[in-house]
Amino acid sequence: MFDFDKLDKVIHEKSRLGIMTLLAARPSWTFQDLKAELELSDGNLVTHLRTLHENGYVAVTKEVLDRPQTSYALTTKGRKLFQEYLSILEQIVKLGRPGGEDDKVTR
Amino acid sequence: MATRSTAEEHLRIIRSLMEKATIYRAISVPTALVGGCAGILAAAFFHFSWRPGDYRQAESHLFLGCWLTALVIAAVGNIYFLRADARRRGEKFVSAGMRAALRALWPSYLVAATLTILWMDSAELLPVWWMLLYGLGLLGTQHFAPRSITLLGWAFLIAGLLAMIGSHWAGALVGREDGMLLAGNLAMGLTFGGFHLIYAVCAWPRASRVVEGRGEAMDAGNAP
Repeated sequence: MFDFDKLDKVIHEKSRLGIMTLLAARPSWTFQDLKAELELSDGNLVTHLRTLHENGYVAVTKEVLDRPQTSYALTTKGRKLFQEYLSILEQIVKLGRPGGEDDKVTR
Repeated sequence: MATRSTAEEHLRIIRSLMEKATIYRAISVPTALVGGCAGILAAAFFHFSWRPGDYRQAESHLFLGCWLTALVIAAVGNIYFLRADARRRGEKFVSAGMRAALRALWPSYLVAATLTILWMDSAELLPVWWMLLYGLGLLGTQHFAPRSITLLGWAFLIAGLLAMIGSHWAGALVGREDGMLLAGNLAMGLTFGGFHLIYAVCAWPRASRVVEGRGEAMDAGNAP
């Protein structure tokens, strides 16, 4: 039997999964780059980033260069939980393969 | 409740975003081919145009003329090929990857441009600086560039260091600068010409696989 409670509910939402993936791929992203890459509205992106920040997954850096700029990066906790989330997804896929333990997966 | 198909879909999203975010080839493979050929031609043109006893300023200007022409050809080619590649993938030309690459590249290129302007009348050391700064610029993109670009950066950095040591020894032994630009031109031909051609030949099959199998294949040097 697979325990789906192990899946991180904060990361499991599609937009937040996209944000976490991009942040895992590069050391830091500006708000504008995240917005352009994920094609989310400002409001949506702000909401999801706030959720991730409040849960301690994402660190926020605000700086003023020629204009104010906000950058986002994964925290150590966020990176660790993202890796755990990935390995759980892989386990689910593995269980469902022919010869796997599909019957044991509760839907 | 999550199912296998949801898990697969999420893994697909992760894979596709990782691919978009992590791999950015600042020099397209066809550009390397064009740039490499332009480099070889520039080196050959200068080599056969150079005459012993030419005024230092005149030979420096000839050298700059040859290599800046090669640079313009490579830069125009790179813009053309990167734009075509972005269009084929349905992405913006100025993507997040390109912005990250430009941010990583511009400091070393700014230094190279400044040195070129300051030493345009006595260009003996420009080949060494160009090799070193170009290599450092490429290495600045290593967090998101394919491994082949990183290797190219290291090759330029090592060649630049060897050329710097070589020119230092030659200057100390011979004590004059005759022919130094000719040797520098040869080093430029080998690196900006030869290295780019080697890079193009080695990276071409892999880059083609990524384009053909987008969504299925990853650049082997950079699969997350």
